[in-house]
Amino acid sequence: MFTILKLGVAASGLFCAGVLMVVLIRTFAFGQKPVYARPSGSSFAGVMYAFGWGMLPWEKESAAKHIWTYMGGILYHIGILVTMLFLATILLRISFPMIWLYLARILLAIGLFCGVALLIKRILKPHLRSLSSGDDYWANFLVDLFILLALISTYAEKALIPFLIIAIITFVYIPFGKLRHCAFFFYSRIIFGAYFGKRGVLPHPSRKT
Amino acid sequence: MVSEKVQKDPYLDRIRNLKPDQLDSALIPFKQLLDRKTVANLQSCVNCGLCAETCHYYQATGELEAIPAYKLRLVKSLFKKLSTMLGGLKEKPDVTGILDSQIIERWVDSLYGRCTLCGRCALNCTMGINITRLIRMARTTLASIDLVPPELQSTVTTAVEKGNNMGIPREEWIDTLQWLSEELQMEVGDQKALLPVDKPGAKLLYTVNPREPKFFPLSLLATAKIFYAAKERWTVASDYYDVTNYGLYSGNDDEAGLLSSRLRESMVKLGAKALVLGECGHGYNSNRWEAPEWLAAEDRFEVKSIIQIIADYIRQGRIKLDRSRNQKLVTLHDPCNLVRLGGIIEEQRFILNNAVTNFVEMHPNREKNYCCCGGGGQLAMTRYAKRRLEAGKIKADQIRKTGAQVVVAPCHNCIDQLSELNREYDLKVEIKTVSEVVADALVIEKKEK
Ligand code: SF4
Ligand code: SF4
Repeated sequence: MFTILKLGVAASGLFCAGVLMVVLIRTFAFGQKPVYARPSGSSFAGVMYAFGWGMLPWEKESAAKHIWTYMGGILYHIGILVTMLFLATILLRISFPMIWLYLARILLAIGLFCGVALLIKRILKPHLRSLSSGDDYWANFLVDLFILLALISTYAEKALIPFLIIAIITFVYIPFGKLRHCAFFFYSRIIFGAYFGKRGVLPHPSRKT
Repeated sequence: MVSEKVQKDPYLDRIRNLKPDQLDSALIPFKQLLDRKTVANLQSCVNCGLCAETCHYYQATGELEAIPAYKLRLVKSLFKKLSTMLGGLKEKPDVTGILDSQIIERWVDSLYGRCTLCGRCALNCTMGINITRLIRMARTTLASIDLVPPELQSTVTTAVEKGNNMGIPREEWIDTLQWLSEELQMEVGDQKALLPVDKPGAKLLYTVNPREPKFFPLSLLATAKIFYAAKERWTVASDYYDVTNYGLYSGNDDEAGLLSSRLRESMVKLGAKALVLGECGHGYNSNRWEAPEWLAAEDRFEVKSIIQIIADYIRQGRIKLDRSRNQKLVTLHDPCNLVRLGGIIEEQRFILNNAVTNFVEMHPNREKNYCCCGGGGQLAMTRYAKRRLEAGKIKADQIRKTGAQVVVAPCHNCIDQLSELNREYDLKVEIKTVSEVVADALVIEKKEK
């Protein structure tokens, strides 16, 4: 059973990566219109900013004004990353020192807390509720469950079975709902940086020197 | 929600009576506008809602329809209907009912009626989605089926048909230039001082907002005075001199392209070296950044804002300023199209620091500044005037907090809105262009008559 589930996770992971790749290829197949306006700033510097300083909460008013939500989002994603790494260690039978396990537990617990908090916020805040669709709740719930089971599995091996089942469901779901943003995040940030960089708006003058 | 005023007008009747084939025809331009950037952006939103408060409309009203992510969703839902699960377009989509009058009504209400295309949400989106561009793309789609709000369209049509958005006849323009030349001669004490028209081989071709010759000729005189002091070789064109381009706001790329191409025609005809855009935020964005894309051609000459030109004059010592002539407390409004979307950020500050004794920033400022709410065609779309003034309260509060007596805005469009905010919120401030403030500080040695 355990081996079959592991194979299932590997297969669903490959399926997820494959579909996301197709989605990206189909997106790129839309092509790019030629650009004629001469730059006055640097697209490259803008892209660097987008992935560097531009990620800091005080650089964006939306993040600065909602610092807890923003930080919660980042910690949630760190929790997801740790869950994925933990999954990889199970699949590849990699053992690691206890200190890493303790660290993983802390990050998973924080990530889970943030994920649940974001879900509660989505339910409670009227403007977020009205913006949200079923996909938003389901994706958040599914990922929270994924992290939770990873956390429990670090204590009780029995939880590995449901953990692997949820991993399969998550991987299959990722390309078809909002979770596909994982494939678009980097490209969207590049577009953002290049646009404002070319126009000489970003990086902000104080960051240029 | 659609306001009562909107419900009663013929424009709305037109939307409600749209025929299925008219609605379907909008899908063709929509699809044509999709490229990899827009498609990626359309699939990136995580509904985090963090963009909500970056929009002055949402801040003012708290309404769902004002949230940038909601506006994005309106566009995204059309894309979703046309695309497959894997992101590409459906080969043969069943287009029946993909768009209906209700959807169009929602689009118009939010995408024209609650957006100034200010770019603030785009700067703040956690994913980096250029929501503003997607909203404009939707406006282009609406424009393709002739659904630009009539007041905005009439501004564009006037510009297309009459050569400038106020429909100023050529004789009136020439007349105005003539008497402004006389004024200039009196002010500087030089009979040779002029506002030159159609002067071949001039270095700079200067373009103006028609609002200047029509209602505020003294602001044009101020710029002329600066050119005079800098001994510039400049000219205006007798036919195409309108820096504005409401095609940017209507979404009609053909009309926008036509308006911008005319300024380029004037450049070629007069053989000028640089096209200088007067103090107009959207005129700058249109003619500096968007026109090359509308016209699918790189400009072979420099396109500059008058703000850059004045800053250069100061740096090069071509004009002398006496700051003590402007002693009042001055603050600066950053027009979205010039600053956040245009990249002219520090020059106006450099100028003011040289032209006034007391300069205070409003907060937030520069690319993070709040929109005054006069852009996006809102000043033309009178049907949404109430919302415009309501959403402009944030700007009014920003101004009030500075305690400034003078607000400088390098954009005539913004100045119109700021003047209304001044009345509405009793700000008791003077509102000036950068040129006016600089002209007040200019040191000109009068020539002997
Ligand atoms: S900030 Fe960006 S990702 Fe978040 S809801 Fe707004 S548009 Fe979507
Ligand atoms: S562009 Fe400006 S007005 Fe339009 S939705 Fe974004 S923040 Fe609001």
